[in-house]
Amino acid sequence: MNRGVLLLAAALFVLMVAAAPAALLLGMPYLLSLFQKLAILAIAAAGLNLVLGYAGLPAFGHGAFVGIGSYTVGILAAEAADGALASAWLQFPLAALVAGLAAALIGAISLRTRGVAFLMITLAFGQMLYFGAVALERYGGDDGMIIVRASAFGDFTLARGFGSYVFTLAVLAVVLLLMYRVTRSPFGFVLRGAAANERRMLAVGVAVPSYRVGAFALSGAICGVAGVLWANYTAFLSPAPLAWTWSVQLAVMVLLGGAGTLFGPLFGAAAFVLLEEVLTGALQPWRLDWHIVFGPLLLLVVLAAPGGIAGLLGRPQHG
Amino acid sequence: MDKAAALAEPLLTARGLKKSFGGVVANASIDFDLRPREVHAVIGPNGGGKTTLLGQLMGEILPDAGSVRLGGIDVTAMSVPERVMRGLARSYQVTSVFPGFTVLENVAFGLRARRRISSRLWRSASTGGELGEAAAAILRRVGLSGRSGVDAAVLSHGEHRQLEIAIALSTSPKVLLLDEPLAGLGVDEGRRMVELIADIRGPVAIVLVEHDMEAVFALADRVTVLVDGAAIASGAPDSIRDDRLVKAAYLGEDA
Repeated sequence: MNRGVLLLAAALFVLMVAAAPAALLLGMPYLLSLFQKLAILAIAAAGLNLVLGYAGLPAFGHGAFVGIGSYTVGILAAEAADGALASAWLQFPLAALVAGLAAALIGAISLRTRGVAFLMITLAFGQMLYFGAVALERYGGDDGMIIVRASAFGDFTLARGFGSYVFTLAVLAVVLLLMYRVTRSPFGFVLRGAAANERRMLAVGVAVPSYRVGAFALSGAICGVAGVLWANYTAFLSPAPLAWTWSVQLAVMVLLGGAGTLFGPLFGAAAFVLLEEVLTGALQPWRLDWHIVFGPLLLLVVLAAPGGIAGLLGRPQHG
Repeated sequence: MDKAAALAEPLLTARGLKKSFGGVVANASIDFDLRPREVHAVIGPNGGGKTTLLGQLMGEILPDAGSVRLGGIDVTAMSVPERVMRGLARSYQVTSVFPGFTVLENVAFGLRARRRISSRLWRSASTGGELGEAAAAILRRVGLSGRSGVDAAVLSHGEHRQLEIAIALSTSPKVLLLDEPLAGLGVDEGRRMVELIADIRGPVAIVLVEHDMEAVFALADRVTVLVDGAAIASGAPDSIRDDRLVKAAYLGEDA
Protein backbone atom coordinates (compact mmCIF):
# COMPACT_ATOMS: atom_id res chain seq x y z
CA MET A 1 0.00 0.00 0.00
CA ASN A 2 1.39 3.42 -0.84
CA ARG A 3 1.55 6.59 1.16
CA GLY A 4 -1.16 8.48 -0.71
CA VAL A 5 -3.75 5.80 -0.04
CA LEU A 6 -2.81 5.57 3.63
CA LEU A 7 -2.93 9.34 4.06
CA LEU A 8 -6.38 9.66 2.49
CA ALA A 9 -7.71 6.74 4.54
CA ALA A 10 -6.26 8.22 7.73
CA ALA A 11 -7.69 11.64 6.88
CA LEU A 12 -11.16 10.17 6.33
CA PHE A 13 -11.01 8.28 9.62
CA VAL A 14 -9.83 11.34 11.57
CA LEU A 15 -12.59 13.38 9.93
CA MET A 16 -15.26 10.84 10.85
CA VAL A 17 -14.02 10.41 14.42
CA ALA A 18 -13.65 14.16 14.93
CA ALA A 19 -17.14 14.67 13.57
CA ALA A 20 -18.60 12.99 16.65
CA PRO A 21 -17.59 15.58 19.30
CA ALA A 22 -17.83 18.38 16.74
CA ALA A 23 -21.43 17.52 15.94
CA LEU A 24 -22.25 17.36 19.63
CA LEU A 25 -20.54 20.63 20.54
CA LEU A 26 -21.68 22.61 17.52
CA GLY A 27 -25.13 21.05 17.45
CA MET A 28 -24.84 19.58 13.97
CA PRO A 29 -26.43 16.14 14.22
CA TYR A 30 -26.82 16.22 10.47
CA LEU A 31 -23.07 15.75 10.06
CA LEU A 32 -23.18 12.54 12.08
CA SER A 33 -26.09 11.29 10.03
CA LEU A 34 -24.19 11.90 6.79
CA PHE A 35 -21.00 10.21 8.00
CA GLN A 36 -22.88 7.28 9.49
CA LYS A 37 -24.51 6.61 6.14
CA LEU A 38 -21.04 6.81 4.58
CA ALA A 39 -19.63 4.30 7.07
CA ILE A 40 -22.47 1.78 6.62
CA LEU A 41 -22.18 1.93 2.83
CA ALA A 42 -18.40 1.54 3.14
CA ILE A 43 -18.91 -1.65 5.19
CA ALA A 44 -21.26 -3.13 2.58
CA ALA A 45 -18.93 -2.06 -0.25
CA ALA A 46 -15.96 -3.63 1.59
CA GLY A 47 -17.92 -6.89 1.74
CA LEU A 48 -18.72 -6.73 -1.97
CA ASN A 49 -15.09 -5.84 -2.73
CA LEU A 50 -13.95 -9.31 -1.66
CA VAL A 51 -15.96 -10.85 -4.50
CA LEU A 52 -16.02 -8.04 -7.06
CA GLY A 53 -12.53 -6.66 -6.47
CA TYR A 54 -10.24 -9.34 -5.12
CA ALA A 55 -11.90 -12.39 -6.69
CA GLY A 56 -12.69 -10.43 -9.87
CA LEU A 57 -16.26 -11.73 -10.16
CA PRO A 58 -18.88 -9.30 -11.54
CA ALA A 59 -21.46 -9.78 -8.76
CA PHE A 60 -24.35 -7.34 -9.04
CA GLY A 61 -26.81 -8.61 -6.46
CA HIS A 62 -25.17 -7.83 -3.12
CA GLY A 63 -27.89 -5.37 -2.11
CA ALA A 64 -29.95 -8.47 -1.33
CA PHE A 65 -27.57 -9.43 1.49
CA VAL A 66 -27.81 -5.95 3.00
CA GLY A 67 -31.58 -6.39 2.75
CA ILE A 68 -31.44 -9.74 4.56
CA GLY A 69 -29.61 -8.01 7.42
CA SER A 70 -32.26 -5.29 7.56
CA TYR A 71 -35.14 -7.75 7.49
CA THR A 72 -33.54 -9.71 10.33
CA VAL A 73 -33.84 -6.60 12.49
CA GLY A 74 -37.27 -5.63 11.17
CA ILE A 75 -38.86 -9.06 11.49
CA LEU A 76 -37.47 -9.71 14.99
CA ALA A 77 -38.65 -6.26 16.09
CA ALA A 78 -42.12 -6.84 14.66
CA GLU A 79 -42.51 -10.34 16.07
CA ALA A 80 -41.65 -9.36 19.64
CA ALA A 81 -43.02 -5.90 20.33
CA ASP A 82 -41.68 -6.06 23.87
CA GLY A 83 -38.17 -6.10 22.41
CA ALA A 84 -37.42 -9.64 23.55
CA LEU A 85 -35.69 -10.33 20.22
CA ALA A 86 -34.08 -6.94 19.78
CA SER A 87 -30.77 -8.03 21.29
CA ALA A 88 -27.91 -7.04 19.01
CA TRP A 89 -26.04 -10.05 20.40
CA LEU A 90 -28.67 -12.17 18.64
CA GLN A 91 -29.28 -10.01 15.57
CA PHE A 92 -25.75 -9.49 14.31
CA PRO A 93 -24.75 -13.19 14.28
CA LEU A 94 -28.14 -14.22 12.91
CA ALA A 95 -28.06 -11.61 10.12
CA ALA A 96 -24.47 -12.55 9.21
CA LEU A 97 -25.37 -16.24 9.21
CA VAL A 98 -28.52 -15.94 7.08
CA ALA A 99 -26.94 -13.48 4.63
CA GLY A 100 -23.78 -15.60 4.46
CA LEU A 101 -25.73 -18.79 3.74
CA ALA A 102 -27.88 -17.06 1.12
CA ALA A 103 -24.74 -15.66 -0.51
CA ALA A 104 -23.05 -19.08 -0.49
CA LEU A 105 -26.10 -20.65 -2.15
CA ILE A 106 -26.46 -17.89 -4.75
CA GLY A 107 -22.70 -17.95 -5.34
CA ALA A 108 -22.60 -21.73 -5.79
CA ILE A 109 -25.29 -21.54 -8.47
CA SER A 110 -24.06 -18.36 -10.20
CA LEU A 111 -20.48 -19.64 -10.33
CA ARG A 112 -21.55 -22.29 -12.82
CA THR A 113 -21.57 -19.48 -15.37
CA ARG A 114 -19.06 -16.91 -16.53
CA GLY A 115 -18.85 -13.24 -17.49
CA VAL A 116 -22.07 -11.56 -18.56
CA ALA A 117 -24.17 -14.63 -17.70
CA PHE A 118 -22.72 -14.56 -14.17
CA LEU A 119 -23.52 -10.86 -13.85
CA MET A 120 -27.11 -11.42 -15.04
CA ILE A 121 -27.69 -14.36 -12.68
CA THR A 122 -26.46 -12.49 -9.61
CA LEU A 123 -28.68 -9.58 -10.66
CA ALA A 124 -31.62 -11.95 -11.13
CA PHE A 125 -31.16 -13.56 -7.71
CA GLY A 126 -31.08 -10.10 -6.17
CA GLN A 127 -34.34 -9.19 -7.92
CA MET A 128 -35.90 -12.48 -6.81
CA LEU A 129 -35.17 -11.65 -3.17
CA TYR A 130 -36.39 -8.09 -3.73
CA PHE A 131 -39.79 -9.30 -4.94
CA GLY A 132 -39.78 -11.85 -2.15
CA ALA A 133 -39.42 -8.98 0.33
CA VAL A 134 -42.11 -6.94 -1.44
CA ALA A 135 -44.45 -9.92 -1.04
CA LEU A 136 -43.97 -9.92 2.75
CA GLU A 137 -47.21 -8.03 3.49
CA ARG A 138 -46.84 -8.82 7.16
CA TYR A 139 -43.67 -6.73 7.21
CA GLY A 140 -44.91 -3.78 5.21
CA GLY A 141 -44.62 -5.23 1.71
CA ASP A 142 -43.81 -2.63 -0.89
CA ASP A 143 -44.29 0.32 1.49
CA GLY A 144 -42.07 -1.02 4.22
CA MET A 145 -42.73 -0.28 7.86
CA ILE A 146 -41.36 1.51 10.85
CA ILE A 147 -39.01 -0.52 13.01
CA VAL A 148 -40.36 0.01 16.52
CA ARG A 149 -37.40 -1.49 18.35
CA ALA A 150 -33.79 -0.63 17.65
CA SER A 151 -31.20 -3.33 18.19
CA ALA A 152 -29.41 -3.05 21.50
CA PHE A 153 -26.52 -4.57 23.39
CA GLY A 154 -28.19 -4.51 26.82
CA ASP A 155 -28.75 -0.81 27.50
CA PHE A 156 -26.60 0.33 24.61
CA THR A 157 -29.02 1.07 21.79
CA LEU A 158 -28.14 1.29 18.11
CA ALA A 159 -30.92 3.79 17.43
CA ARG A 160 -29.51 6.76 15.55
CA GLY A 161 -27.33 8.94 17.73
CA PHE A 162 -23.87 9.48 19.11
CA GLY A 163 -23.36 5.97 20.50
CA SER A 164 -24.68 4.29 17.38
CA TYR A 165 -22.38 6.45 15.26
CA VAL A 166 -19.27 5.53 17.21
CA PHE A 167 -20.28 1.88 17.13
CA THR A 168 -20.67 2.02 13.33
CA LEU A 169 -17.19 3.48 12.97
CA ALA A 170 -15.83 0.66 15.13
CA VAL A 171 -17.55 -1.95 12.95
CA LEU A 172 -16.06 -0.31 9.86
CA ALA A 173 -12.60 -0.47 11.41
CA VAL A 174 -13.07 -4.14 12.36
CA VAL A 175 -14.34 -5.03 8.87
CA LEU A 176 -11.37 -3.32 7.24
CA LEU A 177 -9.00 -5.14 9.60
CA LEU A 178 -10.74 -8.41 8.70
CA MET A 179 -10.37 -7.64 5.01
CA TYR A 180 -6.71 -6.75 5.53
CA ARG A 181 -6.04 -10.13 7.12
CA VAL A 182 -8.18 -12.21 4.77
CA THR A 183 -6.91 -10.72 1.53
CA ARG A 184 -3.31 -11.29 2.63
CA SER A 185 -3.95 -14.86 3.79
CA PRO A 186 -3.39 -17.94 1.61
CA PHE A 187 -7.18 -17.92 1.02
CA GLY A 188 -7.05 -14.32 -0.21
CA PHE A 189 -4.06 -15.09 -2.40
CA VAL A 190 -6.02 -17.91 -4.04
CA LEU A 191 -8.91 -15.53 -4.80
CA ARG A 192 -6.56 -12.96 -6.31
CA GLY A 193 -4.43 -15.52 -8.12
CA ALA A 194 -7.49 -17.20 -9.61
CA ALA A 195 -8.70 -13.80 -10.84
CA ALA A 196 -5.33 -13.40 -12.58
CA ASN A 197 -5.26 -16.94 -14.04
CA GLU A 198 -8.04 -19.36 -13.11
CA ARG A 199 -6.90 -22.25 -15.32
CA ARG A 200 -3.43 -22.24 -13.80
CA MET A 201 -4.82 -22.05 -10.26
CA LEU A 202 -6.83 -25.22 -10.94
CA ALA A 203 -3.73 -26.82 -12.47
CA VAL A 204 -1.73 -26.34 -9.26
CA GLY A 205 -4.38 -28.28 -7.37
CA VAL A 206 -6.64 -25.56 -5.95
CA ALA A 207 -10.40 -26.21 -6.11
CA VAL A 208 -11.12 -22.61 -7.16
CA PRO A 209 -14.96 -22.83 -7.10
CA SER A 210 -14.99 -23.74 -3.39
CA TYR A 211 -12.84 -20.73 -2.56
CA ARG A 212 -15.14 -18.47 -4.53
CA VAL A 213 -18.21 -19.81 -2.75
CA GLY A 214 -16.38 -19.15 0.52
CA ALA A 215 -15.68 -15.58 -0.62
CA PHE A 216 -19.38 -15.14 -1.45
CA ALA A 217 -20.37 -16.37 2.01
CA LEU A 218 -17.97 -14.04 3.82
CA SER A 219 -18.85 -11.08 1.64
CA GLY A 220 -22.59 -11.76 2.09
CA ALA A 221 -22.16 -11.98 5.86
CA ILE A 222 -20.41 -8.59 5.95
CA CYS A 223 -23.22 -7.09 3.87
CA GLY A 224 -25.69 -8.65 6.33
CA VAL A 225 -23.95 -6.84 9.20
CA ALA A 226 -24.20 -3.60 7.18
CA GLY A 227 -27.92 -4.35 6.80
CA VAL A 228 -28.44 -4.53 10.59
CA LEU A 229 -26.74 -1.14 10.92
CA TRP A 230 -28.80 0.26 8.05
CA ALA A 231 -32.10 -0.85 9.57
CA ASN A 232 -31.19 0.86 12.84
CA TYR A 233 -29.92 3.94 11.02
CA THR A 234 -33.13 4.42 9.05
CA ALA A 235 -35.41 2.94 11.76
CA PHE A 236 -37.44 1.80 8.81
CA LEU A 237 -37.80 -1.60 7.16
CA SER A 238 -37.88 -1.27 3.39
CA PRO A 239 -37.25 -3.59 0.45
CA ALA A 240 -35.20 -0.79 -1.15
CA PRO A 241 -31.74 -2.20 -0.29
CA LEU A 242 -32.64 -5.41 -2.11
CA ALA A 243 -33.45 -3.59 -5.34
CA TRP A 244 -30.93 -3.77 -8.17
CA THR A 245 -30.23 -0.05 -7.85
CA TRP A 246 -28.61 -0.67 -4.47
CA SER A 247 -26.51 -3.51 -5.81
CA VAL A 248 -25.29 -1.37 -8.67
CA GLN A 249 -24.59 1.54 -6.33
CA LEU A 250 -22.43 -0.70 -4.15
CA ALA A 251 -20.57 -1.93 -7.22
CA VAL A 252 -20.09 1.67 -8.38
CA MET A 253 -18.58 2.55 -4.99
CA VAL A 254 -16.15 -0.36 -5.23
CA LEU A 255 -15.11 0.50 -8.78
CA LEU A 256 -14.98 4.25 -8.11
CA GLY A 257 -12.85 3.82 -4.99
CA GLY A 258 -10.57 1.11 -6.36
CA ALA A 259 -11.62 -2.53 -6.75
CA GLY A 260 -9.36 -5.04 -5.06
CA THR A 261 -7.79 -2.49 -2.72
CA LEU A 262 -8.27 -2.35 1.05
CA PHE A 263 -9.50 1.24 1.26
CA GLY A 264 -11.13 1.46 -2.17
CA PRO A 265 -14.66 0.78 -0.82
CA LEU A 266 -14.20 3.50 1.84
CA PHE A 267 -13.02 6.01 -0.78
CA GLY A 268 -15.85 5.02 -3.12
CA ALA A 269 -18.52 5.31 -0.43
CA ALA A 270 -17.11 8.68 0.65
CA ALA A 271 -17.05 10.01 -2.91
CA PHE A 272 -20.58 8.73 -3.50
CA VAL A 273 -22.15 10.10 -0.32
CA LEU A 274 -20.31 13.42 -0.33
CA LEU A 275 -20.93 14.06 -4.03
CA GLU A 276 -24.60 13.20 -3.60
CA GLU A 277 -24.73 15.73 -0.76
CA VAL A 278 -22.86 18.52 -2.50
CA LEU A 279 -24.33 18.05 -5.96
CA THR A 280 -27.91 17.73 -4.75
CA GLY A 281 -27.52 21.07 -2.98
CA ALA A 282 -25.70 22.73 -5.86
CA LEU A 283 -28.16 21.58 -8.51
CA GLN A 284 -31.27 22.47 -6.53
CA PRO A 285 -31.80 25.88 -8.20
CA TRP A 286 -32.16 24.09 -11.54
CA ARG A 287 -34.11 21.19 -10.03
CA LEU A 288 -31.69 18.73 -11.57
CA ASP A 289 -30.92 15.28 -10.20
CA TRP A 290 -27.34 14.87 -8.93
CA HIS A 291 -26.80 11.83 -11.14
CA ILE A 292 -26.70 14.13 -14.16
CA VAL A 293 -23.24 15.18 -13.01
CA PHE A 294 -22.30 11.96 -11.23
CA GLY A 295 -22.90 9.82 -14.33
CA PRO A 296 -20.40 11.58 -16.60
CA LEU A 297 -17.98 11.82 -13.67
CA LEU A 298 -18.15 8.07 -13.18
CA LEU A 299 -17.61 7.53 -16.89
CA LEU A 300 -14.54 9.73 -16.71
CA VAL A 301 -13.10 7.74 -13.80
CA VAL A 302 -13.73 4.39 -15.48
CA LEU A 303 -12.13 5.56 -18.71
CA ALA A 304 -9.25 7.65 -17.33
CA ALA A 305 -8.52 5.84 -14.06
CA PRO A 306 -9.51 2.18 -14.19
CA GLY A 307 -7.89 1.69 -10.77
CA GLY A 308 -10.35 4.14 -9.21
CA ILE A 309 -9.40 6.67 -6.54
CA ALA A 310 -6.91 4.30 -4.90
CA GLY A 311 -5.35 3.71 -8.31
CA LEU A 312 -4.99 7.46 -8.87
CA LEU A 313 -3.05 7.74 -5.62
CA GLY A 314 -0.54 5.12 -6.68
CA ARG A 315 -0.13 1.77 -8.33
CA PRO A 316 -1.80 -1.01 -6.37
CA GLN A 317 0.57 -3.81 -5.38
CA HIS A 318 0.04 -7.43 -4.67
CA GLY A 319 1.43 -8.96 -1.54
CA MET B 1 14.43 -47.99 -20.46
CA ASP B 2 15.17 -50.92 -18.21
CA LYS B 3 13.18 -54.13 -18.01
CA ALA B 4 11.67 -53.45 -14.61
CA ALA B 5 10.19 -50.22 -15.88
CA ALA B 6 8.85 -51.89 -18.99
CA LEU B 7 7.06 -54.48 -16.88
CA ALA B 8 5.70 -52.05 -14.31
CA GLU B 9 2.09 -51.01 -14.48
CA PRO B 10 1.75 -47.69 -16.31
CA LEU B 11 1.44 -44.59 -14.13
CA LEU B 12 -0.94 -43.03 -16.58
CA THR B 13 -3.23 -44.83 -19.01
CA ALA B 14 -5.74 -43.53 -21.52
CA ARG B 15 -8.10 -45.82 -23.38
CA GLY B 16 -10.27 -44.90 -26.34
CA LEU B 17 -10.14 -41.13 -25.80
CA LYS B 18 -12.43 -39.30 -28.19
CA LYS B 19 -13.12 -35.62 -28.60
CA SER B 20 -14.89 -33.58 -31.25
CA PHE B 21 -15.27 -29.82 -31.25
CA GLY B 22 -18.40 -29.12 -33.24
CA GLY B 23 -17.98 -31.36 -36.23
CA VAL B 24 -14.20 -31.37 -36.08
CA VAL B 25 -12.63 -34.52 -34.68
CA ALA B 26 -9.66 -33.65 -32.44
CA ASN B 27 -9.09 -37.15 -31.07
CA ALA B 28 -10.55 -40.14 -32.92
CA SER B 29 -9.79 -42.88 -30.38
CA ILE B 30 -6.51 -42.64 -28.59
CA ASP B 31 -4.84 -45.27 -26.44
CA PHE B 32 -1.88 -43.97 -24.52
CA ASP B 33 0.21 -44.95 -21.56
CA LEU B 34 3.13 -43.69 -19.54
CA ARG B 35 5.31 -46.01 -17.48
CA PRO B 36 7.23 -45.07 -14.34
CA ARG B 37 10.47 -43.15 -14.99
CA GLU B 38 9.62 -42.83 -18.67
CA VAL B 39 9.70 -39.87 -21.02
CA HIS B 40 6.99 -40.51 -23.59
CA ALA B 41 7.09 -37.96 -26.38
CA VAL B 42 4.01 -37.11 -28.44
CA ILE B 43 4.75 -35.61 -31.83
CA GLY B 44 2.74 -34.85 -34.93
CA PRO B 45 1.67 -31.97 -37.16
CA ASN B 46 -0.33 -29.04 -35.82
CA GLY B 47 -3.96 -29.99 -35.39
CA GLY B 48 -2.93 -33.59 -34.81
CA GLY B 49 -4.59 -33.64 -31.40
CA LYS B 50 -1.55 -33.34 -29.11
CA THR B 51 -2.75 -30.47 -26.96
CA THR B 52 -6.27 -31.94 -26.84
CA LEU B 53 -4.74 -35.17 -25.54
CA LEU B 54 -2.87 -33.31 -22.77
CA GLY B 55 -6.07 -31.46 -21.87
CA GLN B 56 -7.95 -34.74 -21.59
CA LEU B 57 -5.25 -36.37 -19.49
CA MET B 58 -5.23 -33.33 -17.18
CA GLY B 59 -9.02 -33.18 -16.96
CA GLU B 60 -9.35 -29.73 -18.50
CA ILE B 61 -11.13 -31.17 -21.52
CA LEU B 62 -13.75 -33.82 -20.85
CA PRO B 63 -13.55 -36.66 -23.37
CA ASP B 64 -16.65 -37.62 -25.38
CA ALA B 65 -15.70 -41.23 -24.73
CA GLY B 66 -12.86 -43.18 -23.17
CA SER B 67 -11.16 -43.31 -19.80
CA VAL B 68 -8.06 -42.07 -18.02
CA ARG B 69 -6.34 -43.92 -15.17
CA LEU B 70 -3.71 -42.34 -12.93
CA GLY B 71 -1.69 -44.51 -10.55
CA GLY B 72 -4.09 -47.40 -11.06
CA ILE B 73 -7.20 -45.36 -10.27
CA ASP B 74 -9.88 -44.25 -12.74
CA VAL B 75 -9.74 -40.45 -12.75
CA THR B 76 -11.97 -39.87 -15.81
CA ALA B 77 -14.63 -38.16 -13.69
CA MET B 78 -12.18 -36.28 -11.45
CA SER B 79 -11.65 -32.54 -11.58
CA VAL B 80 -8.31 -30.97 -12.43
CA PRO B 81 -7.39 -30.17 -8.77
CA GLU B 82 -8.25 -33.74 -7.69
CA ARG B 83 -5.90 -35.12 -10.35
CA VAL B 84 -3.19 -32.69 -9.29
CA MET B 85 -3.50 -33.93 -5.71
CA ARG B 86 -2.92 -37.43 -7.07
CA GLY B 87 0.37 -36.35 -8.63
CA LEU B 88 -0.44 -34.92 -12.06
CA ALA B 89 0.90 -31.57 -13.27
CA ARG B 90 1.28 -29.76 -16.58
CA SER B 91 2.90 -26.85 -18.32
CA TYR B 92 1.29 -24.82 -21.09
CA GLN B 93 2.27 -24.15 -24.66
CA VAL B 94 1.30 -20.49 -24.33
CA THR B 95 2.85 -19.23 -21.10
CA SER B 96 0.31 -19.31 -18.30
CA VAL B 97 1.62 -17.77 -15.08
CA PHE B 98 0.13 -15.49 -12.39
CA PRO B 99 0.81 -11.92 -13.54
CA GLY B 100 0.86 -9.34 -10.75
CA PHE B 101 2.50 -11.81 -8.36
CA THR B 102 6.21 -12.25 -7.78
CA VAL B 103 8.04 -15.24 -9.23
CA LEU B 104 8.32 -16.66 -5.70
CA GLU B 105 4.57 -16.26 -5.10
CA ASN B 106 3.85 -17.96 -8.44
CA VAL B 107 5.59 -21.06 -7.12
CA ALA B 108 4.10 -20.73 -3.61
CA PHE B 109 0.53 -21.31 -4.89
CA GLY B 110 1.32 -24.91 -5.79
CA LEU B 111 3.40 -25.49 -2.66
CA ARG B 112 0.50 -24.37 -0.46
CA ALA B 113 -1.99 -26.48 -2.38
CA ARG B 114 0.28 -29.51 -1.91
CA ARG B 115 0.56 -28.83 1.82
CA ARG B 116 -3.20 -28.24 1.97
CA ILE B 117 -2.81 -24.83 3.57
CA SER B 118 -4.34 -22.77 0.74
CA SER B 119 -7.57 -22.29 2.67
CA ARG B 120 -6.02 -20.61 5.70
CA LEU B 121 -8.02 -17.46 6.25
CA TRP B 122 -6.43 -15.63 9.12
CA ARG B 123 -2.72 -16.25 8.74
CA SER B 124 -0.52 -14.17 6.49
CA ALA B 125 0.45 -15.83 3.22
CA SER B 126 4.12 -15.76 4.12
CA THR B 127 6.76 -17.12 1.79
CA GLY B 128 9.23 -17.64 4.61
CA GLY B 129 10.26 -20.75 6.49
CA GLU B 130 10.06 -24.21 4.99
CA LEU B 131 7.70 -23.08 2.22
CA GLY B 132 10.07 -20.31 1.20
CA GLU B 133 13.00 -22.72 1.15
CA ALA B 134 11.06 -25.18 -1.01
CA ALA B 135 10.14 -22.36 -3.40
CA ALA B 136 13.75 -21.15 -3.54
CA ALA B 137 14.94 -24.70 -4.26
CA ILE B 138 12.56 -25.00 -7.22
CA LEU B 139 13.59 -21.60 -8.59
CA ARG B 140 17.26 -22.59 -8.24
CA ARG B 141 16.54 -25.76 -10.14
CA VAL B 142 14.94 -23.99 -13.11
CA GLY B 143 17.52 -21.18 -13.02
CA LEU B 144 15.31 -18.33 -11.77
CA SER B 145 16.97 -17.77 -8.39
CA GLY B 146 17.92 -14.19 -9.11
CA ARG B 147 14.39 -13.26 -10.16
CA SER B 148 12.33 -14.46 -7.20
CA GLY B 149 11.14 -10.99 -6.16
CA VAL B 150 10.18 -9.82 -9.66
CA ASP B 151 6.59 -9.51 -10.93
CA ALA B 152 5.99 -12.54 -13.16
CA ALA B 153 4.40 -10.23 -15.74
CA VAL B 154 7.72 -8.56 -16.57
CA LEU B 155 9.82 -11.69 -17.18
CA SER B 156 11.35 -12.36 -20.60
CA HIS B 157 9.91 -15.11 -22.78
CA GLY B 158 12.71 -17.48 -21.85
CA GLU B 159 12.18 -16.80 -18.14
CA HIS B 160 8.44 -17.34 -18.57
CA ARG B 161 9.17 -20.80 -19.99
CA GLN B 162 11.37 -21.54 -16.95
CA LEU B 163 8.64 -20.30 -14.60
CA GLU B 164 6.14 -22.56 -16.41
CA ILE B 165 8.24 -25.54 -15.37
CA ALA B 166 8.76 -24.19 -11.84
CA ILE B 167 4.99 -23.81 -11.30
CA ALA B 168 4.42 -27.33 -12.61
CA LEU B 169 7.07 -28.69 -10.22
CA SER B 170 5.57 -26.83 -7.25
CA THR B 171 2.93 -29.51 -6.71
CA SER B 172 5.56 -32.30 -6.47
CA PRO B 173 4.14 -34.25 -9.41
CA LYS B 174 4.74 -37.91 -10.18
CA VAL B 175 3.56 -37.36 -13.74
CA LEU B 176 4.36 -34.19 -15.66
CA LEU B 177 2.72 -33.16 -18.93
CA LEU B 178 4.90 -30.71 -20.85
CA ASP B 179 3.27 -28.86 -23.73
CA GLU B 180 6.00 -27.60 -26.06
CA PRO B 181 8.44 -26.47 -23.36
CA LEU B 182 10.88 -25.27 -26.04
CA ALA B 183 8.33 -23.11 -27.89
CA GLY B 184 9.91 -19.81 -28.90
CA LEU B 185 13.23 -20.47 -27.19
CA GLY B 186 16.60 -19.65 -28.79
CA VAL B 187 19.26 -22.30 -29.33
CA ASP B 188 21.02 -21.79 -25.98
CA GLU B 189 17.79 -21.45 -24.02
CA GLY B 190 16.49 -24.57 -25.73
CA ARG B 191 19.56 -26.51 -24.77
CA ARG B 192 19.20 -25.43 -21.16
CA MET B 193 15.52 -26.47 -21.21
CA VAL B 194 16.50 -29.94 -22.47
CA GLU B 195 19.04 -30.17 -19.64
CA LEU B 196 16.37 -29.11 -17.16
CA ILE B 197 13.94 -31.77 -18.39
CA ALA B 198 16.72 -34.36 -18.27
CA ASP B 199 17.32 -33.32 -14.66
CA ILE B 200 13.64 -33.66 -13.74
CA ARG B 201 13.06 -37.00 -15.46
CA GLY B 202 13.35 -40.24 -13.54
CA PRO B 203 11.43 -39.73 -10.32
CA VAL B 204 8.97 -37.82 -12.46
CA ALA B 205 7.54 -39.56 -15.52
CA ILE B 206 7.01 -37.13 -18.37
CA VAL B 207 4.66 -36.79 -21.33
CA LEU B 208 6.49 -34.49 -23.71
CA VAL B 209 4.67 -32.73 -26.53
CA GLU B 210 7.35 -31.00 -28.61
CA HIS B 211 8.06 -29.90 -32.16
CA ASP B 212 11.82 -29.73 -31.74
CA MET B 213 12.89 -33.17 -32.99
CA GLU B 214 16.40 -32.83 -31.63
CA ALA B 215 14.98 -32.39 -28.13
CA VAL B 216 12.49 -35.22 -28.62
CA PHE B 217 15.12 -37.71 -29.74
CA ALA B 218 17.50 -36.57 -26.98
CA LEU B 219 14.94 -37.09 -24.22
CA ALA B 220 12.33 -39.65 -25.25
CA ASP B 221 12.26 -43.32 -24.27
CA ARG B 222 9.23 -43.76 -26.45
CA VAL B 223 7.55 -41.69 -29.14
CA THR B 224 3.93 -41.66 -30.25
CA VAL B 225 2.92 -39.93 -33.46
CA LEU B 226 -0.51 -38.30 -33.60
CA VAL B 227 -1.97 -37.42 -36.97
CA ASP B 228 -5.57 -36.27 -37.44
CA GLY B 229 -6.44 -37.34 -33.92
CA ALA B 230 -5.13 -40.88 -34.21
CA ALA B 231 -1.89 -42.52 -33.08
CA ILE B 232 -0.36 -43.74 -36.36
CA ALA B 233 2.82 -45.07 -34.72
CA SER B 234 4.30 -45.65 -31.31
CA GLY B 235 7.64 -47.09 -30.27
CA ALA B 236 11.30 -46.46 -29.53
CA PRO B 237 12.71 -43.23 -31.03
CA ASP B 238 14.84 -45.09 -33.57
CA SER B 239 11.96 -47.15 -34.88
CA ILE B 240 9.83 -43.99 -35.20
CA ARG B 241 12.59 -42.24 -37.09
CA ASP B 242 12.60 -45.10 -39.61
CA ASP B 243 8.83 -45.56 -39.81
CA ARG B 244 7.54 -45.00 -43.32
CA LEU B 245 4.13 -43.71 -42.30
CA VAL B 246 5.69 -41.22 -39.96
CA LYS B 247 8.10 -40.02 -42.58
CA ALA B 248 5.29 -39.52 -45.01
CA ALA B 249 2.95 -37.83 -42.59
CA TYR B 250 5.22 -35.71 -40.54
CA LEU B 251 8.96 -35.74 -40.76
CA GLY B 252 8.98 -35.41 -44.54
CA GLU B 253 10.42 -38.02 -46.87
CA ASP B 254 13.93 -36.67 -46.64
CA ALA B 255 14.11 -36.88 -42.86
